[in-house]
Amino acid sequence: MMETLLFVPGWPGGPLAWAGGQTPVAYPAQFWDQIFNIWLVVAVIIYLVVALPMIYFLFRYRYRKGVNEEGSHEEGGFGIEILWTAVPLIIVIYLATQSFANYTQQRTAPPGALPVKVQGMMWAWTFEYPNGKKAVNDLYVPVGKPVKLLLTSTDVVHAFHIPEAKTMEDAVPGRVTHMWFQFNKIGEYRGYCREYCGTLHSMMLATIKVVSQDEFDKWLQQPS
Amino acid sequence: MAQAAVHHGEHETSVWPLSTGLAVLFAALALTAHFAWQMPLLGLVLGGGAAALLAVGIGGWAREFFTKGTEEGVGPIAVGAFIASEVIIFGTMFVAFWMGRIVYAEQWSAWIPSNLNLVLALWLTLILWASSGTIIMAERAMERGDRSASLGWIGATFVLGLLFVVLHMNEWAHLAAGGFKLGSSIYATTFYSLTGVHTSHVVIGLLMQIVLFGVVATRLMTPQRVTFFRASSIYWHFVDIMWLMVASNAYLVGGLR
Amino acid sequence: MQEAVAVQTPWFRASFKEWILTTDHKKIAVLYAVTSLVFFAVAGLMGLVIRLELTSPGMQYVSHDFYNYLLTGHGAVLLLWWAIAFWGAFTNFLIPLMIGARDVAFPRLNQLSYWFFFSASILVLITLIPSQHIKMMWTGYPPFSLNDGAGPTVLYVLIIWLVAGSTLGTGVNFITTVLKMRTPGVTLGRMNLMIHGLIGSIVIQLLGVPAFVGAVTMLFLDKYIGTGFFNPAVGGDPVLYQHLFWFYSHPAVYVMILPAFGVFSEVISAMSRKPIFGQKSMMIALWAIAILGFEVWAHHMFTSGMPDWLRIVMSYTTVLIAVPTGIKIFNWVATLHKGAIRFHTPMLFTLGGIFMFLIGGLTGIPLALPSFDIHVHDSAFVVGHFHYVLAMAVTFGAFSGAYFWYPKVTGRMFPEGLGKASFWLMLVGSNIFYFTQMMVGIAGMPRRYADYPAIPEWITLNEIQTVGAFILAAGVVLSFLAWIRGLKGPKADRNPWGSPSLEWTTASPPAPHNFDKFPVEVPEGWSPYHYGKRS
Ligand code: HEA
Ligand code: HEA
Ligand code: CUA
Ligand SMILES: [Cu+2]
Repeated sequence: MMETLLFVPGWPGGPLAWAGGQTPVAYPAQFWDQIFNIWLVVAVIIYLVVALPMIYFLFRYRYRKGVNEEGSHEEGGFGIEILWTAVPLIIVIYLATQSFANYTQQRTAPPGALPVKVQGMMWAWTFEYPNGKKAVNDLYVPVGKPVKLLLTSTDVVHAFHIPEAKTMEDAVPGRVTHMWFQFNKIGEYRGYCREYCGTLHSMMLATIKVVSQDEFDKWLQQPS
Repeated sequence: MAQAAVHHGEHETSVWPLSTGLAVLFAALALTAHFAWQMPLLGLVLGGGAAALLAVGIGGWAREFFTKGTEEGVGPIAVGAFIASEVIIFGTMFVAFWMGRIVYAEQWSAWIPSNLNLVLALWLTLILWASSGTIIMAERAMERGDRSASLGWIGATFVLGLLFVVLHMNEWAHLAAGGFKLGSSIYATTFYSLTGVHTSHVVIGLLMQIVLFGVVATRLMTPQRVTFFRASSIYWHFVDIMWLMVASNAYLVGGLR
Repeated sequence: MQEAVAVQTPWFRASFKEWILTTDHKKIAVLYAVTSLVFFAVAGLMGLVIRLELTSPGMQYVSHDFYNYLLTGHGAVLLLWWAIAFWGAFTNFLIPLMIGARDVAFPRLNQLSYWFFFSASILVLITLIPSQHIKMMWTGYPPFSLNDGAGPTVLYVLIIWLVAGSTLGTGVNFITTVLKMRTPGVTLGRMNLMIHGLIGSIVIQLLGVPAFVGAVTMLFLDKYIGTGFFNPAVGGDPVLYQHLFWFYSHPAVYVMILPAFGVFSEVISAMSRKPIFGQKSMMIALWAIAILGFEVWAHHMFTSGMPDWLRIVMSYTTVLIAVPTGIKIFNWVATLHKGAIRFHTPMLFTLGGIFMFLIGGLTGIPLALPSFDIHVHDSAFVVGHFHYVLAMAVTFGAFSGAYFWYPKVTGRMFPEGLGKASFWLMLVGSNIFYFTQMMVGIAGMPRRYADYPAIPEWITLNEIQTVGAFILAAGVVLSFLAWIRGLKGPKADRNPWGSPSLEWTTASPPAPHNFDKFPVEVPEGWSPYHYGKRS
């Protein structure tokens, strides 16, 4: 039922293949791209529906001496007001439901994701791998494999944002929060602190080093 | 309509709000001096100035209101609106309390102090309720025009309220001595905050009663102009009802193992 | 006779002593307006410094800490001193006039409310001293705000307490005034939408501000008295602050916009010479926004680590706000239909405000979708969204109102040419600025960044923003000039816009006691929007 009413990108054609054609640099960016496109279309249409009549009225009913000096005494219209209550209601409920469907997948890491513990502090990131290996400010991940970050903080609230994956989550002291992503292309990317945390908030950047599985395994075995 | 009779230009200007407002400014500067600038002496001086200005401001204000102003009878609406917002302030403390209570349900019982005195809570409740009764008696007496009886009942209310504050502060000292310190657990934090915020409201009520006593004793208030009386008494009832909520949460829900 | 004399002295002839001791709601309104405009200029200039610093990556003009102070000051002052307090001036000036009363219910309390606000202003000036900079941003999230690096927390707390004292005083005063002091014939259903907008925001403040007060009180206790509200080690939780903070600070955005909606309604109806379309549904929609606004606070916390189900619930409740807001937009458009539209300065600002609110509102919708917000939360996109609604819709509304009632307040006419030039500069500058701000946000630029990596796309977009900001600032300056020049302008008569609303039936500027005769009489079937020919 849900699937027929909504544009669910889902995972047709096997795990993590994007219905839209080309693969994004990182998952789960495709869900964001999709909700963005839907919103853009809806917003532009609504804008035109409001703005075009408004501009027309401004021109058509402008004050003209001797021709149009006084407006008509029109106080309202019940039917039309019902119309412009009901239509937006339907649109927004659709938008929220579409977002709901996407969000569930943006939040749920695929099974088998590599768990990495992340600790924010003023002003650096520590990453800890399942085997106990730690790294500061450099997040090594294997290409093509989902990674699940478990975030917390030792001092104030921070947040970890990965622009390519279009996802983020706060790192809160006393809590463990989670997010996931998967890079599909080898390279170096940036992770940003997205929650204001003091003087060097804007310098609290991490480097995400996406490497091949072999290289990653080798790196993981080196003592930190 | 209320307004037909009011505002005949007799108070285009008034110095008393300025005096009270300066008291507010001084108090704010006193707190800043104490906490941010580490200048406790300056804080004390400013705080003293604030208290003096406040006393002058409130006293003059009350006098001006009863000699020059006109009775509009709209006080209870204003107090009602004010109480609505007070309820929300208390609400924030309740939210903090319940968030801790639910999230830390397991650790909670370890936080309960062994010397938590439920019987005292009961006594405190009875004291406050009695004072709600006495203020009603005071109001009735004033409406009848029986000034001395009214003064007596206001005095009784004041004494009961003061007793409540003293007993409660004593209880805090006792609990703190037993290791139940402000920052030792979220229970302690919310316990002291709920009861502390409540006690601060009792103190405001007591200050209102001092003003009330003053205007009744000096015959500024007449049986025809009792709106201020009604407003103070509504506020006092609110403080009493709030105590029931505070006590049942801070003592009963909190103290239950 | 005392009153006949009084009629001869308008407010601007008052002595200094009268100014500081006044209990006249019109003089108090002017006090609020002047304070508010001064702080608007200061915080606007802070915004320009921020803009200069962001033009290119690296730190050129200020240090990280000073940038953070500027941004804290910019946000807090523009929200509290401009977007909220400027409406305090309208509340004070207009409400008693629009309901046909002599003054407010508690004139002395009204003066005291101003002194609370004044005291808060003094504290803001203290934060200008380098050692007193507060750097916790206007949101003041703990644990950072408890950190010594955030500056003197107590100043932030006191500023909120004092502003809250002022709003609560004003709140109880004007609720009582509107409920009890309306002249016969002005019913709650018929009175101006402007009053509904102002009272709607007052009711929101009365029920919301205490939550903010509670939150900062906890900050104060945690920092100085030793409690553990936000200390996870003893069972406290920093997210609690965010819930309490947004429980007020989301509805607060409607505190800012509802009076602007009021202005739009007054102006669009007066300048089209048509009754406002669907006055009753406009009123219901306005109160629906005020009420729904309390059920959506956690949409600012979609990434804060709260449970996923709460994020979804808050997303649905948030988007529902679009429905009553849409009703208002469509009804304004319908008001233009078959009107006789005059393009005076206030009308230009109102039309611009509506167009820009539409963009701001439509960019609020995706923020309410967690699926979208997960990438743009705390990015420049959010900043662009709220500058559209705040720095354009609210500010245009405030400017429109200032021009519309300028003849009533001062008794003079402002220079139209300057007003119109100001409008066009502001419109063009704002759009260049804020639209590119949203674009750089989509491209990933975080907010509250004093410095940023040298990504070519970001640099170009930031340069364009700065150009826009300066065009916009030039427009603002022209309006300030128009208002100053207008004080020497030609005399305005009682009712330059030909409106049936009550404030226009008395002299400009109104006499100390507002009307010549009490109770003020209104004709049978009166409406503040009684325009147009009946056919
Ligand atoms: C005047 C101020 C104002 C106003 C009116 C609004 C209006 C809205 N805002 Fe905005 N907002 C702010 C000021 C304001 N906001 C500020 C200051 C912040 C940042 C705070 C900070 O972090 O510092 C913020 C942040 C903010 C966030 C958090 C983003 C984040 O931090 O990640 C969200 C998320 O939901 C949001 C949503 C909305 C929505 C849904 C509306 C709605 O009310 C808009 C409704 C209007 C419309 C939709 C247009 C008209 C409607 C129609 C024409 C009908 C048809 C429409 C549809 C069917 C869609 N806002
Ligand atoms: C109503 C609210 C409001 C208004 C009007 C504005 C107006 C402006 N804002 Fe801002 N802004 C906020 C509310 C507002 N803002 C908030 C809440 C934040 C978030 C803070 C936070 O993150 O905590 C923010 C954040 C913010 C940022 C984001 C910074 C970052 O995240 O790192 C930027 C950057 O460009 C900015 C710039 C500006 C500029 C250039 C203006 C310009 O429009 C200003 C134009 C006005 C002037 C320049 C004044 C001109 C007047 C004079 C010069 C007086 C002349 C006098 C005489 C002639 C006598 N603002
Ligand atoms: Cu860490 Cu911002
Ligand atoms: Cu919001």
